[in-house]
Amino acid sequence: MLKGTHNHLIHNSMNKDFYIGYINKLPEGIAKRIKITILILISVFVLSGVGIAFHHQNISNSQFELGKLTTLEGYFFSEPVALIKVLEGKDIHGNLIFKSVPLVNYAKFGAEDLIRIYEEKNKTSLHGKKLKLIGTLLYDDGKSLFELTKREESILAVEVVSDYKLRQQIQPKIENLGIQSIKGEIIDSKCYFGAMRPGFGKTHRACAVRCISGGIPPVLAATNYDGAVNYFLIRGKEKQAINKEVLPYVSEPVSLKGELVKFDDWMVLYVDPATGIERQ
Amino acid sequence: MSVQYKAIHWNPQKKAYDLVIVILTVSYLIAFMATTIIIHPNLDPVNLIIRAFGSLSLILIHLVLIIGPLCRLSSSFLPLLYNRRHLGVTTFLVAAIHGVLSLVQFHGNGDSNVLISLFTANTQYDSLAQFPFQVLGYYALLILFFMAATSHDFWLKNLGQNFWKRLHILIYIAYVLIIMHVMLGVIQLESSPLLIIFLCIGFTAVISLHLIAGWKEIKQDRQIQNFLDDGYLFAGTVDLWEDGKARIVNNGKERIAIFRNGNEFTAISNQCAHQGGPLGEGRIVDGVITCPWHGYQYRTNDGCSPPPFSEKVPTFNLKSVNNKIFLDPIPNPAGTAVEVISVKVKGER
Repeated sequence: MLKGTHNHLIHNSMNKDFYIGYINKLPEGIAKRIKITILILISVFVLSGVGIAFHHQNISNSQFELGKLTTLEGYFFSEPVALIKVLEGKDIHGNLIFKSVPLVNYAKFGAEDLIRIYEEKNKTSLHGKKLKLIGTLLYDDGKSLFELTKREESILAVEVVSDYKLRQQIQPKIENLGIQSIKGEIIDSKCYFGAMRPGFGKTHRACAVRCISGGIPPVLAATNYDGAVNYFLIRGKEKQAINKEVLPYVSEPVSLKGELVKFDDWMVLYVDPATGIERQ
Repeated sequence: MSVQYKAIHWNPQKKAYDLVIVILTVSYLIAFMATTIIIHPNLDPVNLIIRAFGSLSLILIHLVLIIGPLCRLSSSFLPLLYNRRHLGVTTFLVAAIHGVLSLVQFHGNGDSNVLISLFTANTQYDSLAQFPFQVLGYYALLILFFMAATSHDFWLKNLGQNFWKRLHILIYIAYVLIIMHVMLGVIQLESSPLLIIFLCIGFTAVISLHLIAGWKEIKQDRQIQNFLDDGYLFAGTVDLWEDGKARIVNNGKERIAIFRNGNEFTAISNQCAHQGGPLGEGRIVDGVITCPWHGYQYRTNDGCSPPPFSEKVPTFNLKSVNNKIFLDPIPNPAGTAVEVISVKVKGER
């Protein structure tokens, strides 16, 4: 470029409306048009930001108390999934009321491996014992889960339940409801009930696959005609974990057929993964 | 221009352009995030950032794509073109934040490597409803990365203009992948019609502007040129030329810009040696032909950039008969000196 001659340009009538990017001072007409264009662009960007943000949908009200550690005491059971039964109170007959809180590990991993390693290391079984745990609560729509945020160090105390009557009262109340076919979406319980919002649907599929593959209990979320959602823990016919088998069907509309069992305050569907899962 | 390679040859216009890019980016992010936090406070922070940067990159790529055809339709939009590569790099950076965060959030912290998970978590390529949309976004990001990485003039020079241009036309493949990524991803989750309307407006604007600009180019190239017996093309009578400007003719293979500089006429290739800009839409400034895109310049007598610059374009021979300009359609090698013909334009002193 020819330096030292730029000042001629804005006075040269034939170049008044010719834009050259490296000229320090723009011709008036061009400068005015550029200013108007910039104002229009800023308006479009701001209005788009507001408009698109306004129209998010499907954000659940689930909660994950990230950063807040809670101490929880309850009675550990490994069926249908690793969970603790937390005493909530008594009913009018004086019977103890428990809330079943499934356990999950840190990040995208289930708690069953952690429990097994703890039991092997300490040469003990945690089944039916009273545990004092520290971790992070997640909850939504009447269901709660507990993340063992500090991994093995989340288990603060283990106590044998010596009282016979109490041992009877904490046993799961199981009710067989026969073979049922239920339609819904297979979700990973940790993200759905709080760790991620939203924790369902196609955009969340990859995360759900990772979580379920890592051992987090898969759950069938079935929405009824009133919009209420019912939740069913998914286990195999032999009560085994079938996390790997359900992976191809995660976050899709599916129908599961299997034996339906009411396990305290959770429903469990025992499914043969070879024949009991059908895409809708 | 091509004197030495610096990261960026800054000037006030580029700084102003970049400042506008920052303002647009920040204002969008603030508007989006503030609105979301107020209306949907339960959206978790990482997902909020993923959505903010994803939607911003979608808007930016539309802006990048409409600049080209807008400039073909009106030279008023040329200031948007001048530093477009910075806008393109910004688009890549914003998309990269979205992409990397998504990879970590959805595929990380689990039992698999994030990239392996990306390709194995969902393999339903035979289903439109369940199509692995994240893979589409990954490939689009890869294309944007290569374009951003080769956006500097160093690569333009060393890869050659033609290869470099072909690489950067991959933006259209990236655009299609991004549209499919959005349509098969978030649009299927969010049922709001506004998102679909936005996408349709953007897509329609890009396609229609390209079609209109393309049609204009085709019509221009269809102008019939009259050949003389000696092979010369009739380019027009001298009174058709405005001083300092060019008329563009087509020899059947390429466009040629014939400039008038006072009473002198000269012809060079219409294609700028920098990025293929339309030299014939430029002007003669201080006696040199100046490209309207980035201001690259060429001398009228030999098609060479004035020293110390080294660009050069093919020149063409002209002759004039009875106030008519004729062009020899066979190009001279780039940088060949030609005779600048002198014709007194009637009505002018």
